[in-house]
Amino acid sequence: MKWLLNILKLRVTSYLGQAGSLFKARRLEISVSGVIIAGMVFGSYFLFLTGAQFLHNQGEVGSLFLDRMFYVGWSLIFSLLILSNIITALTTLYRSKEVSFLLTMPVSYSDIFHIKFLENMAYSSWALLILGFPLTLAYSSIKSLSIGQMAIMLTLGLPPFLMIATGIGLGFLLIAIWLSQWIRLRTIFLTSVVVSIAVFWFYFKTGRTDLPILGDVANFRAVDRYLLNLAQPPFPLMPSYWFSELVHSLSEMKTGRLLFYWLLLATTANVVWIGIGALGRKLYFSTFQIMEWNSVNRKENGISSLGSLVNHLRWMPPPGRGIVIKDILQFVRTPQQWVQLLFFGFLIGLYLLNLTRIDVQVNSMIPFWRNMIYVFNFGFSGYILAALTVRFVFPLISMEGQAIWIIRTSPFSISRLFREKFWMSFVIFFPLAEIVALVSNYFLKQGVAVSVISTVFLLAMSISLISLSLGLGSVYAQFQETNPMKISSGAGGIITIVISLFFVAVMVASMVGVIYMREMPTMQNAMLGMLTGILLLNGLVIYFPLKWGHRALLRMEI
Amino acid sequence: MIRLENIKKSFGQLKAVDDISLHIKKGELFSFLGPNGAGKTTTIKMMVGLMCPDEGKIIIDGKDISSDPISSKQIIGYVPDNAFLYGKLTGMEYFQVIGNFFRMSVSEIEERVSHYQEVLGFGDWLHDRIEGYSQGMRQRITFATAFMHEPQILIIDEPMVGLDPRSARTIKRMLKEKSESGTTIFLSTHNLSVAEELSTRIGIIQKGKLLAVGTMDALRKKVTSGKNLEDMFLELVGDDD
Repeated sequence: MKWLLNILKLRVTSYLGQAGSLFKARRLEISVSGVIIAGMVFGSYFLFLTGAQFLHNQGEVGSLFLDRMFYVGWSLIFSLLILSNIITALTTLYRSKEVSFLLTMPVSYSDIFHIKFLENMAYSSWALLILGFPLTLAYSSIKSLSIGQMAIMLTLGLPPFLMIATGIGLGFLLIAIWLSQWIRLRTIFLTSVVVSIAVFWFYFKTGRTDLPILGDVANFRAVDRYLLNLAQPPFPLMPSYWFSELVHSLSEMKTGRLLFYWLLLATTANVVWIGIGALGRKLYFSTFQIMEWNSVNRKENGISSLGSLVNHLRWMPPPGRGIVIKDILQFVRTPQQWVQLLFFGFLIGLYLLNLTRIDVQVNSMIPFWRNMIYVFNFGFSGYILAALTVRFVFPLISMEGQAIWIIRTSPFSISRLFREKFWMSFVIFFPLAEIVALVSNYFLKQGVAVSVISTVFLLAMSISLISLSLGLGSVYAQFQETNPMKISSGAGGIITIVISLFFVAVMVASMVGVIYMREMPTMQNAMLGMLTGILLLNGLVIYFPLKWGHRALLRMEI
Repeated sequence: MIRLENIKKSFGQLKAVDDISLHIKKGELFSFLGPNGAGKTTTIKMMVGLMCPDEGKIIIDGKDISSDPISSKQIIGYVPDNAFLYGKLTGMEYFQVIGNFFRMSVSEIEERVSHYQEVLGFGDWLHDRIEGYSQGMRQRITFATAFMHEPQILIIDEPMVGLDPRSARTIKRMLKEKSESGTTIFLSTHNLSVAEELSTRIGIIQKGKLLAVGTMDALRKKVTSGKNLEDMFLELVGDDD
């Protein structure tokens, strides 16, 4: 334990030193990122606060909704934390050069595992907490919690909550890697995602019908049943529920309940810490060896798998084929990449699954609500696209890594490299966003005209968002970093996601304008003006980032 | 074939390359010698397009690499001193990708791979991922991909790093053969015996300046002490460095 504390102290000192020197070297960039992050936190806080106040003012039903939304918000954060821990741990526990060094030191594997556990918890949690803090602060302020109470709740509740999520994620990963001696890791992850979707499907299929009333509020029995369901948490055994109960208990000053839920969190975290420690002691070193063995002895049936890929892409002229083959192979062989894409797919699948359960009687709705549903759905598709492009397109140039010299000494231009990466991203992400939009339009019973408009807008957004991520990904390239998640969550990634989200918001607002103006004969000129503005905006978002990225890569000296 | 005209490159206050001019003819095997930090790698990086000179021109086969980089790169094969390759690809896939970058057909690539497999002794490991290769394996792969498109110019930074004696001997023999068949080779090395054994001409650089250029015989006339390259080198660059 003393050793553990020493290395933690060393780690904190080293991070502080690194942060200090990094701040000196990149003062402007870090300051801008800091302002943007602070803006995001405050912006989200005010957004959540406005929404919460609106619901709170609706009386008892609004309060029920508000409680449910807070609980669902933390459930989502808890699920994302587990996923984030799994993905981050692949690097922290197995790929980090420090692990190889530590394994040569006279310390136990268990100690190394524990230090990596804490490191992983910190790495994978901070970004999600940017979402969690404003949500909690807004909810707490509606519940009239004082600053002191909020501080107590976060200080006492958050560490065990994070520890449980990390423990579950790492436990899953240890077992998955141990099983990979017999079953390919890819198959294990894929099976887990399929099983999870099946479990959720079963839950939705057999569970309570939550939303039977949209457009049919005259059915009082349904309303009664709905309100009854709303007051019941769907997963009371989840730590996210216990965490949200801390706020309720504090706001109602129920000390016994507060203590009960905190002890529930703390003792579970303790059990997880002990349990994962035992699992780590048993499996960490052997799974480390399995991962090392996999990377050294990984036969890829080279000729057959490559041969079929080359054959399928034979129509592509060089050097495009080479670039695409390389990027596809690297993607499918980097677990951090495809695991996260799988989980994105899982979340999108859940969203669509959820939509199939809404028995919306769209025709009986007033146009305002019909358009609102449509706008929210379109906005969701846009935000998915933004998240996907920042997560997967932004690191594309950085992922060339220290092998960037190969590209730079090969006989093709930087523009060609950009073109190939752009089209490769486009053919993957545009259909994905389009499927989400079209499938959800179908379940929400939207008309053909609306589907056509959303397709055109999504097309424009796809081109612009991919260009934005590709260009800024080149401006903020990190060739030394091998973890794509760290690349996309760095300063450049944060700037890109903020611009992307802002761009999506402007596009959604513009589209609402176009839909309204379309039906008003007196507004035709204004609509044309707005369409021209949209075209211009997209042109700027495409042109400038690509130009800056091109220039940055051309000027870069290796 | 290669012409360096008054090239200069600085990093802040440090003059890494200071007004170097050189002309290397077709079929020459030119060795570039110098102590650590002399400016060898910077010069090479400018020749292959990884860096731009602050001043001066680099002409490759009559074309300025700054204004026409693509056609210059098409005729160059480059072996860096510490080659980072695409670790997630297998050796075989790496050949296919690089061959495609140089616009080679699939059958051409397969034919060349099979040739170099024999010459450089690639085993079954060619179907393993590169991230599991030793430094020597990586170096052999890098050489094979640099040779694969049969470039007119080979630019090699520290050729023998990580190679076992047998592979080193094979590489030396191949460089000799390529030079005799008309390929121009620019070689930077610390290994004086390699330079002495292979080179038609030698250039010695220190603190970014070219101290001497010439054949072994011409260099011998410039120095007072010793007859071998090591003595000449130490006299020119100074023992204390």
